[in-house]
Amino acid sequence: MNHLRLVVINLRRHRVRTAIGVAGIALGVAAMFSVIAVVRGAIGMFQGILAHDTEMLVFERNVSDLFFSAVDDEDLEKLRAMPEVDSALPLLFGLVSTQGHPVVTCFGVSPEDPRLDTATWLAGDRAAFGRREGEIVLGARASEFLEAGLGEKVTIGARDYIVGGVVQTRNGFEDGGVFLPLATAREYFRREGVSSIITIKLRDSAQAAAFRERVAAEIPYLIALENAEFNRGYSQFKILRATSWAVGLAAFLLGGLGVANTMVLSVFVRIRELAILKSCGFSPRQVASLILGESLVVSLAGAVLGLGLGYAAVVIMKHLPFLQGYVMPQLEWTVAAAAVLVAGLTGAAGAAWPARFAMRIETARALRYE
Amino acid sequence: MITPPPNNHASPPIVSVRGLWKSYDSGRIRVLQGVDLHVHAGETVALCGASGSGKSTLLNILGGLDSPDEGDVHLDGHPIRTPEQRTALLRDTVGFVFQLHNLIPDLTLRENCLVPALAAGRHPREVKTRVEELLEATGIAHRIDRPVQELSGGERQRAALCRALVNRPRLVLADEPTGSLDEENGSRVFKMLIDLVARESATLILATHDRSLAEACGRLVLVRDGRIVHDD
Repeated sequence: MNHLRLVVINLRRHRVRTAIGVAGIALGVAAMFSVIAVVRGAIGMFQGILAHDTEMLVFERNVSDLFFSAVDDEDLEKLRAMPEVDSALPLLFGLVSTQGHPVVTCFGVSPEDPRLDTATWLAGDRAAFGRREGEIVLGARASEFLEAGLGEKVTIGARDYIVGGVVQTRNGFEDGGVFLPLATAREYFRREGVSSIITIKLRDSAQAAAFRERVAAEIPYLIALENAEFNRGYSQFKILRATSWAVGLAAFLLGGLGVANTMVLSVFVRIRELAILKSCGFSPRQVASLILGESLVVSLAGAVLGLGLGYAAVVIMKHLPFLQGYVMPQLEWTVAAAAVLVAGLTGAAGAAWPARFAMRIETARALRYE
Repeated sequence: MITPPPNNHASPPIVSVRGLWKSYDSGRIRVLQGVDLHVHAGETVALCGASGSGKSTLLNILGGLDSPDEGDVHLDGHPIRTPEQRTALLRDTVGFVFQLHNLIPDLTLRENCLVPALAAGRHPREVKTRVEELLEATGIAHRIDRPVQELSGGERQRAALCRALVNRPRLVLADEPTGSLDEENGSRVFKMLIDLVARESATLILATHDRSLAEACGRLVLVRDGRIVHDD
C-alpha cells in the first residue's frame, strides 16, 4: 500500500462525484485544445495565403485588417524597381456572399501568381487563367458547395461567371475560395488600380532590413514586414489568439470550480477519516498531499479524456460540410502539453483550500464526529 | 485471570504532565483542572472515572491528539509543545486504540494495519512480517486481505489493536477499548491488549469506566471533574 492507494480508494468510493470532476476538466481541456487548434489552423491558413514562396509582405501602414489595405499600381512598380526585389506580386482580397453561403473569399491574382502553379488543377487549363473574359477558377471545396464545375455558370455575389478551372490546394481558405483575375476582381470590388497586399520575393533574404528601410523612406504610407514579423504583429491574429486562450481558460475556470467542489465535498464527508490518519501519525502535510493527489488524479484523468475529446471534435469539425473546409486545425503537442499543465494547475488550485482545511482538522474533536 | 506486569517506578517517566488545564466552549466547560501525572516506562495505568470526568481528554493530550490550554507535557523529559512535535509523538512513540475501532473503510485489514507505517515513511515490505505476526497473535490473520467492513465488531477492535502496535510504540493509549464490545469479546480484547503490551515491553495508559478492567492494571488513577483524586 502507498499514498496513491489511499487516493484511489477515495476516488473509487465516490464514483459519480469523481466522474463529474473529471468531466469538468475534460470539457475544459477539450474546449481549450479544440478552440486553439482551430484558431491556429485558421491563422496558419491565412499565413499560407500571404506567404506563398515569398519572404516579405507590403501593405498599407496602420490598417487593422488587410482587407482594407490599398497599394497603388504606381507603388507596385516602384517596389518592383527596387534593387532588393526579385519579384513583387499583387493580391486583392474580397468577400462576397452567395445564396446559402454568407462568406466566400475571393482572391484577385495576376496570371503569373505561383499559387496557381503549385495547386493541383482538377479541371481546366492553368495557362488560360486570365485570358478569357468572365472566367474564374474555383477552389475544390468551393466547386462542391457552389455546385459548379468546369464550363458551368456560377453566381459570385451579384454577377455570373463561367468556371474556367477547379484547383485543389492544401490551404482550406483557398480551397473554399474563388480565384479571379486581378482586373476582374478590381472591377467587381470597385478597387481599380489597387491591391490589398504585395508579396515580395527578395533576391537575397539577407536584404530584408535594407528593403524595409527603403520602403519606409520612399513610400512612407506602406510598411514592409517579414512573414514572421507579420505573424507576430498582425492585430487580427493577436485578437484571434487572445480570444482562443480566453475561451479555453474560461472553460478551465469552470472545470476548476468543478474540481474545487469535488474536493471540498471529499474533505467534508470524511473529516473523521482524515482525523484517523492524523491519529496514526500522518502529518498535516501528508494529509494535504492526499487531497492534492486526489485532485491531480482527477485533473490528469480529465486532461487525457479532454485531449481525446478535443481531438475528436476537431476531426469532426474538419469534415463538417457547412464549415466549407475553413477548419484545418493544427494539432500541436505544445498546445496539448499546455492543456495538461493548465489542467494540473487548475486541479492544484481547486484543491488548495480543501487541503488547507484538511491540514487544520482538530484530530480529537473530529474523532468525536459520528 | 489477567496478570499485569509489575510497575517499575525506579525508571524515569516516559510521559509526564504538570498543571494541565483544558476547557471547551470558550472556557465555559472545564474538562481538566490542574492535572499532574507521571507515568514510567513499563507501567500499565488505568485512568478510571465516570463519563465526562476528563479521562479521554487527558489521554488525547498525553498522546498528542489535543493540546492543553495550560500546562506542560513531557516525553522522556522533553517538552511536547508544537503541532510538529505532537505529530512526531503520534508517529514514533504512541499507538492509539479507540472505543470505536476507527478503521478506514474500503481498505483491507492488512492495509489498515499499514497506515501507521505509511505515516512513518516505511515501506510496506519492511513491516509485512510484523503485521502478519500481530494479526496471528490476535487470531485474525486469516482475514488479512478482507475489507474491514467484513469483520465482526470484536475482530475490528483486534485489528485496531494491531494497527496501534505496528510501529512498535513505547506508549500505548487506549480509550475505552472494550466499550463497544459485548462482555466476552471485551474480555478477550482486553487480555490481548495487556498481553501484547507486555510482550512489546510498552507502557499502557487505559481510560475506562469499568472498575474490573481498571483493577487488572498495575496502577489505578481516579479522575473526577477534571482532577486526579486518587493515584495508586
